[in-house]
Amino acid sequence: MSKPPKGIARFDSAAAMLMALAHALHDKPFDSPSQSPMLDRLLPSLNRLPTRLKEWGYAIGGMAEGISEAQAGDLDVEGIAEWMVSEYPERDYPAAFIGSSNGALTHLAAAMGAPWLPQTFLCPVRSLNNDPDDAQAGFEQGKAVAAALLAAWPRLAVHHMQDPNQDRLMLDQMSYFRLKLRALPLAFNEFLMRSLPDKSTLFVNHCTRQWPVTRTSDRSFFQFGALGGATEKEYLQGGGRVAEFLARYGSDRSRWNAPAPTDNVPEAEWGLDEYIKAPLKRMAADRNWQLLEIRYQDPEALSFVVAEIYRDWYLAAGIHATRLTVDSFLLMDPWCTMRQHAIPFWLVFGTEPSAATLSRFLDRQPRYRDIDMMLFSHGTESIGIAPVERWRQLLDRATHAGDFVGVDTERFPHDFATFARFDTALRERAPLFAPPPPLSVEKVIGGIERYGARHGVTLHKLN
Amino acid sequence: MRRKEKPTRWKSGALLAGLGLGAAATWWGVQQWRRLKQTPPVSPRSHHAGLAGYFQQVGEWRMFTRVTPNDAPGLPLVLVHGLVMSGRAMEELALALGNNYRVLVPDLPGFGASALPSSAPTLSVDEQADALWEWLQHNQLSRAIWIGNSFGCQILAALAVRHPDAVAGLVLQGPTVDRHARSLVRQAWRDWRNGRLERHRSPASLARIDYAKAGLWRALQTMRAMLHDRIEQRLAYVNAPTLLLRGSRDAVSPARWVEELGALLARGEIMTLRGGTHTLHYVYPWSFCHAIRPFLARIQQENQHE
Repeated sequence: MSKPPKGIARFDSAAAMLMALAHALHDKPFDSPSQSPMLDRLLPSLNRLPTRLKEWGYAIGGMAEGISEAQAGDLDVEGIAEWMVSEYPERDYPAAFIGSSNGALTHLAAAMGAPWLPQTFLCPVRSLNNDPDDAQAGFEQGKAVAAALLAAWPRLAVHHMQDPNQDRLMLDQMSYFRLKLRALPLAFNEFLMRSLPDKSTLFVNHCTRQWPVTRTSDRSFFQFGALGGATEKEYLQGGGRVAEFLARYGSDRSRWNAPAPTDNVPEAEWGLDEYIKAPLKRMAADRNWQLLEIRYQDPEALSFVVAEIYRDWYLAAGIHATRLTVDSFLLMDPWCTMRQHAIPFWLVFGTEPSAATLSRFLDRQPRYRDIDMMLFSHGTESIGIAPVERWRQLLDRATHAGDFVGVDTERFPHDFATFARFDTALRERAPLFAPPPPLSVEKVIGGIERYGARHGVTLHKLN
Repeated sequence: MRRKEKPTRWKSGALLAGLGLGAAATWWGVQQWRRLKQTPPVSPRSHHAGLAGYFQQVGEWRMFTRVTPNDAPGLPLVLVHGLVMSGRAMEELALALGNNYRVLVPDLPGFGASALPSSAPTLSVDEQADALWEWLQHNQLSRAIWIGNSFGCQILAALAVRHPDAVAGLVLQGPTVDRHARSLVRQAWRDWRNGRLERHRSPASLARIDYAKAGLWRALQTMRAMLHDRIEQRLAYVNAPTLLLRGSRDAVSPARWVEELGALLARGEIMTLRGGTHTLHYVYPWSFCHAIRPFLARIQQENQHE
């Protein structure tokens, strides 16, 4: 297990979910998303600083993760793919996943003891003293970087993403480029061929969520805004909440001025670029694998299905699961969840739409005895963020104890030390037991077919 | 007087401590070196997957050969390792190819489990090629498809020229030595750059074992032989169908050099594996196998009467 190489952000969905799953497959807790003991020791001190200083520290920390514009042209995509596959134990697997990032999928793969390879990863590029609200400037500045990234590895789609609502702090000092692999790096090819024997199953995780973008070349796009608390319309046309948000952050704008959208393409962070399906089909045919696609639009839809599959999995092992663990973005530990015999329920972010998803889930479930909840802090009082009280109400639906895990509710959403403390806190919440025997491919297929339809999750044969 | 004595005593103490530490480090290094030399010739994982091995006295040399469990019909494949390495680095490639073919992986005399006493002479490229030919006869085989990596390609080129009947086809992956960088320093620099690209699946731990088994003197002498040998002067005389395979990121065997070699071959073809590095047979064995399969199938088809 090693730190991610330059060019891929650690504090992002793809890298963190991959590391969380890899830790589970190595039979280890995911105790440090940063993979840096020094940073983990520093974070609690950073948390005690005044808000402005704390925000500055967060932005600087993010900036340190980034590469320079000059380095973008030399991005080692093969090296990043090598790091991804090297995180997993070297052995034969009955199945593997590839495609969209998804927290619920991370839990599903962990229960099966199967690896997942992300199609998309975040490449942060340093870009100093930006105005996060200036969409036009961001759009123009990003074109050269996107071209450099495409030149570095031509089989990419580059999604330059600017979300002044949720990534506000980070955008001060850097730009977000989400890179989607349209072909398999050699490291992925090798890993799959080495690890999946004849007649294994390869699942393509396909989130069909799209977003309006401005096309800058045949393989590069500018996406303004992102899935979360604000709507597409608010990002592109403004509204009362936007005006209030901008005024609160001292901007003299009343709305953002994003370039006019030209296309609808897969959402930068969660959506799957379907180009990758062609090489996967060829490889599956050649290697005699079953190729299945899990398709859904809303990333949180899979959380409902995985929760049901987990419940059945525990029941088959004679375990009556009464504990719910609510993940938030990258705050998750599948290793711990399985060992606490808890049902996982992953949420995209700490926003009102995610709170509504959890509420819908709890409405349809028998009441849980215990609910543990992580809350990701992104350092901004963003549009649509659900306040602590809203989450508290949901926690109160536990019959015995519903608590935040590793969250400093006074400081949320500026509680950056939660990265360093969430896992220790989670492990202290309940005793750890041996997990049930690994979930079989057949049970997963059966579970998706049984529970998927009512949540918009479908399974398709690709060969 | 006291003032003068103190620093002298301190210096002597430091010197003694340094000598002690140096002796301990040397002792530790020697122990490690001995331990590496005793590493079994087939890794436990490959052994578990069915890869077997045997020793033979081939002429003057005691040679070790790994063999895959599948006794498939058709021409056998013989994998030939690179500079100071052994067939150990080719075990996974052998197993991948072994699904369809009979694969043999000898350790060249002086290397791996075919180690020789340090007093024995270091074989030249031609002598290694002759040893391989003798080894083939000893195994009751007349022809084979030969697959070499790096310096192994130089030996196979010599074999194809000196014993053309033994060669039904050749796969030369990452052939050395680029005539535009024929010096130890430049080769070492390229090798270091390549190593950086392979750091997540580095063959360095295997290299340590093989260097211990071969001995440093033999390693240096073989490097010399490698630099003096000119593969480009042999390939024009190779008539066997030859596939030149290179990884697109191979810093040791650059594209221009491989193209030059391709132009010399009577029946040559070039294939580039996108993303591949120099130690392709070890880092990407399944992709290697997948890439050369059509070529192998064609050679097998052409020689199916044998």
